[in-house]
Amino acid sequence: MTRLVGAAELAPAGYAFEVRAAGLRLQAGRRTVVDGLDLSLGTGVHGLLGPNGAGKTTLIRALATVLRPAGGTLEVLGRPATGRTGLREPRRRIGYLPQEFGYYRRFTVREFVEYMAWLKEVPGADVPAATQRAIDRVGLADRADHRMKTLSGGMLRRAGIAQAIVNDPVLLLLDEPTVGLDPAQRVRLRELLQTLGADTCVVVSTHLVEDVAAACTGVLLMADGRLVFQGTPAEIAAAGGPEHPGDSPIERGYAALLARPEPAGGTW
Amino acid sequence: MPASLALASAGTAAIGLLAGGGPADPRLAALPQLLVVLAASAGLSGQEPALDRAAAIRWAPRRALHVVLAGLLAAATLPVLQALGGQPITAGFAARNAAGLAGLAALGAAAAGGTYAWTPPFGWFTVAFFTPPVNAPVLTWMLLPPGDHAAAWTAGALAAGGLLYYAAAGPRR
Repeated sequence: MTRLVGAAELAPAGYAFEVRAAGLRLQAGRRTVVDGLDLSLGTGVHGLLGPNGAGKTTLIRALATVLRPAGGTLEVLGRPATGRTGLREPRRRIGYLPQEFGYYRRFTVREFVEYMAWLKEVPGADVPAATQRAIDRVGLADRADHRMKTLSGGMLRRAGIAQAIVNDPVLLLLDEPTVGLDPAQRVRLRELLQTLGADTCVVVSTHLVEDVAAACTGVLLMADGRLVFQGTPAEIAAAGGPEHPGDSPIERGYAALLARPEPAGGTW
Repeated sequence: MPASLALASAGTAAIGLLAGGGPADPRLAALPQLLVVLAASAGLSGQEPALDRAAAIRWAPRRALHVVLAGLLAAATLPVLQALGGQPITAGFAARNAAGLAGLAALGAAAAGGTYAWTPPFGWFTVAFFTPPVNAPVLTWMLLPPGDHAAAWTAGALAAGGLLYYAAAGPRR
């Protein structure tokens, strides 16, 4: 299926990094969850790892412009995400899969994805084709006209991924996309992520360290609202030794980096 | 939404029929508008606030239109009630109550989310319902004759306040 390429897509980006944060402070309710985060993310698949409560979901919500930062600076696709206005343009080019998402139970998968395409202001003429393509990419073509309430957990997750990629996002944010997927589906999701990562800035939060090793070009390790480590999967694997708990090099590296005492002079 | 509409129409028809022939009672005349607003209020927030917030479309005018439509729907009980011939209800009465109650529901949605948007209109109606007929036009605005200025101003303020606040802030998560 051919797609017309608009002038906006061919125009050079006016920014060096899709995501840029400096001294970012985020609050969930009154509690400060992320504090003093510095971050630059470009094209590629970035795995976001960390224990429960590290601030991964909160960070992704801020990148999706759902949560307004409480302090510091955050630029998403070259636009400050700290204000109330000026966010419509970046929002058209962001795809977002929340950790859990509500939906109209009577919608079919196709209607759900079409509705999300409309929310993202995909031009009306492109919506049917874009919807079909997104549903095909997550392997739900045979379920496209089934109602959302009839889907299993894994299918629902894939429907969520379909809505996140329907607008061909430049910044794709996936919060725990592998939850509920069976092993074969996880492998297919990794392949999809690698394909998307060629020209998209993908941020994937996950608890599954092996997903990161297989699909990510970069890794962000968060603990207690701070960035503990940013590098490649190989660098994480290299940080671990036989004395650290874990079944694979990257798991041992993960344990080693989280156990390491905070170096003087702040985060790195 | 189909369930809400069915509930609202059935309720309006039932009240119209039950009240037929009885003495004129503003409490019965105001009840259908309340029912419609209550039924419409649940739709004031979507199924997934995070995805709604991340959307690129202009929400403010759509939210405002939504509240206006809910108000119009509530005002549309007027011809139904007149056709059923129960209560002597006037256009001014129906319009004022529809606007004020829809504004209250919008305030509720902005403050507490669509699930609880029904509480302010329902609560105020209950208070007005059980307030003895004393001179308290602000408290019992929805039961007074359409000519009452204080009641009209109260309804107008609620309508404008609810509309603007909800359009700007959106439903609470």
